[in-house]
Amino acid sequence: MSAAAHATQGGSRESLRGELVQKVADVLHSRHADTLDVSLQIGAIPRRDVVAAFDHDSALFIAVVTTIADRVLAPLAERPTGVSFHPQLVAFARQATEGYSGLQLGNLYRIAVANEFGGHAIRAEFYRHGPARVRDELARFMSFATSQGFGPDLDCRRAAVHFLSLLRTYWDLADVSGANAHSHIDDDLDWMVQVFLSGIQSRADDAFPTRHALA
Amino acid sequence: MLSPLATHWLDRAAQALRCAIDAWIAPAPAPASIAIDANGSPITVEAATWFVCFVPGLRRQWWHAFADGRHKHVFALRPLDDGTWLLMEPWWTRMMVNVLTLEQAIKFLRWGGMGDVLKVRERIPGRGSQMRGWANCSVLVSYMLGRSYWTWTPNGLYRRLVDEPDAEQVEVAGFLRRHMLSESQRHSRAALAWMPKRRDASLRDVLLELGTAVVAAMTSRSGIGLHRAAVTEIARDPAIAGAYRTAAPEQAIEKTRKLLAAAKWRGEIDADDCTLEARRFVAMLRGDLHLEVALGLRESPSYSEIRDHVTCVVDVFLRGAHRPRMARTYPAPAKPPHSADLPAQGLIREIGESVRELARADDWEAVAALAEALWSDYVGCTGLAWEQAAGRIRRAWEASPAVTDAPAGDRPREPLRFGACGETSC
Repeated sequence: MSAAAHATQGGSRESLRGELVQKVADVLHSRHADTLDVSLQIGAIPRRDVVAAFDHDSALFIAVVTTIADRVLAPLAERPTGVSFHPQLVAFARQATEGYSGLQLGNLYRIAVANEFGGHAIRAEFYRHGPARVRDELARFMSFATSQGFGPDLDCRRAAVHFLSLLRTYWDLADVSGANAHSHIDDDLDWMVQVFLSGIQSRADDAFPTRHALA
Repeated sequence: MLSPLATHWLDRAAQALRCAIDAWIAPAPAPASIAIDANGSPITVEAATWFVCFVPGLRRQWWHAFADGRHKHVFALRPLDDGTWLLMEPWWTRMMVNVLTLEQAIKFLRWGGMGDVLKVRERIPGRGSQMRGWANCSVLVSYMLGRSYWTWTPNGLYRRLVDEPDAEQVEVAGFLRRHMLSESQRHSRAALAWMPKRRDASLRDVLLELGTAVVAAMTSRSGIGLHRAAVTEIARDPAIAGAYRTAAPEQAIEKTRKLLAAAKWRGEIDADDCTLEARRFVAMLRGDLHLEVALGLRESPSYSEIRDHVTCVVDVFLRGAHRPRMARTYPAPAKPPHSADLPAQGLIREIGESVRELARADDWEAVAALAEALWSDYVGCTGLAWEQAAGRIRRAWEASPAVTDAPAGDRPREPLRFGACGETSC
């Protein structure tokens, strides 16, 4: 019984959407899931199910990137306090780097960059629901922290861009060989947050904490 | 009495005749008004080399039954100086002449790889003729190349061209790898050609210049074309993406690493791993700009946009998000130093000074081994490996005054005891 039949026999369109999003999200971990069609083939997802739930393929993939963004943003759900700001950033960094170090997000972005989604409007929608949303939510989180006196001292949207860029240090859409090969990144997250907040320039008093001293 | 239609046609004929007579008796344009070359052209161009692709059809057509199995269509394309490609493809309904990105050109070349691709030099002024008739794809490509072959099929043209002494058969996969590598190298060389001219330039200034060059290159049309080509080809041929990475982003990372290593040596930065920091810097340079341009959501940024972005990146990279402005008295780091760091500072200073007493050499390389041996006893209590402490120990050694009394070899070498270490019960 196809998922579409399942939907019409009692399951809601919503549950079919959830099911397809989960399937595609799983399929995107595969090295071969580098196009829309191949991803649907690997997931054995009939086109009529996609049409029934999303109208078109691209909407399905936008739903996937939305789900991934939700997961990455989960640690920022609570408003930060002076004590929780740093650990929340580290937790966010962990969620984000998990995405960046695997194939899932890379495949999704590769499909987008390869123009498989079609028109400009759909690519813009993909960007708005994925990368831009994560950036904007992170900026809001930082902005609140700044308003409380413990956030970044620069424009928070820029700070969010820089922080996300740091987390993408090992992420290269033109490289699949290194996927999952940077398990040590997790050990560096605390340090990475520290570098983001304090930079790498030597302090005159030489009191800047070193990486291992912080470890 | 003529009918209105006949009158109309007679008027048109008379008008055409008048125009022809006027053109005949009109004075010729002044010879100096437009200079022309030996072929009657206002400009002289070098004959270009085209990749002529003889391909199977992508969609079934009624006439395919009458054509060769592999050569049902022919088109031509060639690279331009800026990394883009020029495509000439005759359709049933129009002549498609377009400038393609590298990524788009690769799609056409891959199609060519399904049949045969020949590298052929066009002829100027050529020997084709407009009177040739039946302008199908073979005839038009032959005409574009300046050939006068009497053939009407892609395969017929292929057989004529392949017999030419200077025509080259192209192995598409190999060509694409080589092309990607050479284009990426060319792009990278152009971007990274800049070197700091002033020896006293600050690290910030140097990173600002380098960063601006890198962002301008990576978001340029050719840079984005290379990146998109690498991304879209990665599944089919990872070597293409590998060639791009090696020649483009890795070069930027390596150049940054060298700058950071020099700055670390001068004691300007605290970086355990300059390669990692260089990767971080280049990742920060990409920011959102690169993805937005790669997705086609915006045009390449202007110079001022790039400069603004890079300035912010450099300041955050060097001084952190908590302290982006230059003229500012920096507060203590948000997180207090680990308790092990204070004794580490004391040990660093004491070992640096003690090495000066133990080894009477002016060359750090000569005394570094002794300093490393001394430091190795305290790794456990400070958590700092030699590589992390070496730069600061060296600075302490350089700052301490030279010892002028008895030669180092005359003094007993007892294990040193440092008071600071007692704080950590090491």
